[in-house]
Amino acid sequence: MNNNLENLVREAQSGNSKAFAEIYSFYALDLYRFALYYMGNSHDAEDCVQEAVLSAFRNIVSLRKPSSFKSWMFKILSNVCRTKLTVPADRLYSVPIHEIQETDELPDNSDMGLSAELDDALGSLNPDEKEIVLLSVVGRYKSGEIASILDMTSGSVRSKLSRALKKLREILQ
Amino acid sequence: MNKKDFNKKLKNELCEKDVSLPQSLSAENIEKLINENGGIMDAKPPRLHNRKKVAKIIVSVAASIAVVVGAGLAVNSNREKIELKKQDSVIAEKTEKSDYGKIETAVLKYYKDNVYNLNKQSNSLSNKLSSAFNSVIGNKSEDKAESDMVTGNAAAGAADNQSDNYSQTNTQVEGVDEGDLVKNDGKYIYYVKGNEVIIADTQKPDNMNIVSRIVPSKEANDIVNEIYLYNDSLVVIWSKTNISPDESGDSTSDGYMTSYCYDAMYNSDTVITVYGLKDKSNVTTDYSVKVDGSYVSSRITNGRLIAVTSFSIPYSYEENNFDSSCDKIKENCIPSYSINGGADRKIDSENIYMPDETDVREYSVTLFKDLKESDSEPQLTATLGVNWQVYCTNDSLFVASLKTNYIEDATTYSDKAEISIADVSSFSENTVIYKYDISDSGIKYSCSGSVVGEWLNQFSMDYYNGYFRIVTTNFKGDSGTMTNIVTVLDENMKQVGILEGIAKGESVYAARFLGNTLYVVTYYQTDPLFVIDLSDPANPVVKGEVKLPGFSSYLHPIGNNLVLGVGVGGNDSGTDGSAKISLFDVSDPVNPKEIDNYTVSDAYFNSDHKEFLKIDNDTFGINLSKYRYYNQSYDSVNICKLMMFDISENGITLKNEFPMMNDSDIYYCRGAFTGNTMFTVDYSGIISYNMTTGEKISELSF
Repeated sequence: MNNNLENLVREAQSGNSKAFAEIYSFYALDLYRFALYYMGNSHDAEDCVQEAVLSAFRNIVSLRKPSSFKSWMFKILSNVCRTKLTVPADRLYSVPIHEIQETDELPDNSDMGLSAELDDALGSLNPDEKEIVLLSVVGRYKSGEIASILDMTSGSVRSKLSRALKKLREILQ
Repeated sequence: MNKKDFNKKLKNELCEKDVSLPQSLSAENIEKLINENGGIMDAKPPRLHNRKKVAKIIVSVAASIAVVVGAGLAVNSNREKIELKKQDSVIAEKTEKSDYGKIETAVLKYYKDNVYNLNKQSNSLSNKLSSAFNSVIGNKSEDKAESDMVTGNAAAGAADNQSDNYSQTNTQVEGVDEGDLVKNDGKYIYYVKGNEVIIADTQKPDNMNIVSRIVPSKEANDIVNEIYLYNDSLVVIWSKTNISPDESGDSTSDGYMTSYCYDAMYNSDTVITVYGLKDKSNVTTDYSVKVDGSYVSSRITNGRLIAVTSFSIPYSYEENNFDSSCDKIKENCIPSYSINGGADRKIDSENIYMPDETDVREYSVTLFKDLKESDSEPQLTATLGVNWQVYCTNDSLFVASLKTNYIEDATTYSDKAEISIADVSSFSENTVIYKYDISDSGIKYSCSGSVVGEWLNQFSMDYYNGYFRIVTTNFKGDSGTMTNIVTVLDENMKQVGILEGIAKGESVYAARFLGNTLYVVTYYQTDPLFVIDLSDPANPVVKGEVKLPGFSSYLHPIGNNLVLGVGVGGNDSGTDGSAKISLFDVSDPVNPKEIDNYTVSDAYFNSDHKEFLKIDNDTFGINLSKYRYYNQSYDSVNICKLMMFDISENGITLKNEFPMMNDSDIYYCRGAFTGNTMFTVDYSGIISYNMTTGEKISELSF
């Protein structure tokens, strides 16, 4: 299987989109969950995953260790999500923003499947904290792994995670 | 709701709620999306699938995709449990030389108490334990990145001759070279690309060509970590992965993927191969030494190479077969090395150390090789304990490790799914520093010391006039708020002075020691730069500070009165997504001032110190990654370029910009120069520019 992963990555590196899609399929739902809870609605989540996938495919030549595909992919996705949240919307969409609103329903979060309380609570976290909570709970990463994804030390990951969980708990009590 | 229930609820809500993958994100449609966007080569703005349109197109495609999720927990939580358990201090052997018997006893006791019994208690554990165990070492990942960060100025005796004036790696300590992905000797540029080293002849900037490609290993998983130039030699440090596919267990679960990743990354050996460069197109292999353990970091000082690896003891758990497990462990618990492909030799027991209260999961292995004497024997030491970060001067090597003390008892975590979340709020951290003497013709373990809190990176440590100084962040201060600490230790690593309570509620983002002064940046919403006076080792004091929005993550001294901060811009409520460099006037330590800054929106400066390029006393190159916009559409691919600044008392002036050939890989690009030619180097190739005019001369693809 690991040979398989390496082969797939090598295939993808030589431009094979099918191989890429196959690797992607291992993590698709985790990636989508991450984006969904991070962005707060499925519309943005879909866009983010798509963008991250395109960016990953274009840059897969630079992946030095095939084995770190998953954390590399999460790293790209979290960058895309973060940028989307901070860059003004009119620069993000090729479709002017008013058109989106006319033709599409406004993004809403009813499709997240979360309780309203948890949704609100997640919303109250800052992007850093949200990222860490999601990588920990959804991505099932350990603090050291999260640290390498987010370019932080594992100590600060643990401390941020601990703060974020405490915050969530206080809100939800 | 208690913490445990809460964590369970959170996990349920986030992971077990039924979320189905939108059809636009199915593997088939992702493949389609990629193809529509032209695959790898095309860098046009992406055309994302509109959700509704896609739904129409593929409504007939009923294909459900196999998404593999979920099974990672069992493995992970075992691992976590072990980490919690191991806190009972296993051996109280006083540091000093050891013998194999003592080590075996300690390691087996640890295995029995922490691995075997734990496994027996929990039926759900499987023989995956070994890989889970090794994954603990995955915690070090950040320091792998860190070690990538370390690069040396070509210091002592590196490429002697060569044209006039050429770039060398920006290092922390003068005269102590650090490995990097790119080296320049004024005639040739050497670049690490995956598992090969490319040598490019750059003597004619208008006609560059590749003279050779060195591939130390043909195995796909083996990668080159860093290179050095020393006299007529190229020193290549690479990792040899020794995980066989069937050792990693179950091939269908996500758990497998996760543990495999970390096994492959961390269960490797380090090989140092020295190539002769007399004839660049026909490079000779002069020497090689393989050392157990994955690569941590290295330095070259006075012609001596010092490399540090971390070797994790393989504990393979065999149910109901304690004795055979023990035999195996005994057989494998002493790290070994081999020279020029010869037989494995165990590190001499005289050179193995067991510090007090050490951690017996892992060794810190150091290799010392005199490059001046090509046939000299390498010297190896091994110290039980987990190593994470290296700081090195001409005479001493310091290896820091983090000792985490979990406050809550591991046994209360019977429900393993939540351990990873639950344990995080109950720890305290100490940094343990091992000191080695490298002043003579070899390496000797000398002593260790301990301070409260966690360091940031190699710049958190310094050794000056017989005192070791370290700045740490205590994420769990007494009152529960984080705080920062400067500790001064003497030559025997005993504390002589301490300054506590710096910037409560903030953590260290950058540090730089310059003689008796420490500049340190902490951050929470705004960035104070502190000037700390260390001239009285017993009594470090904060002299002055300046608060600014954003923060710096690399500090570079310019002359005696200026410090440049490379980092991120912001406003009063935090960062704003811009890249920023700040120039501080520190001539009055009581009253440091920002005299100029330069910002670029939607971008960031790469703050890895090895990317920082010193061109002359007041000219510097810094790599910038900027998000790229097409019309109104946003593309997450970056533009990466080297920006050249004049930086002096008069402020910051942008002189020129030099784009990288491939504009998307932000991790492996460097600037380099020879004479008046500037080169940008990344995994796609080299571009040469006229440094004065900024005009492109030519390019060479890798």
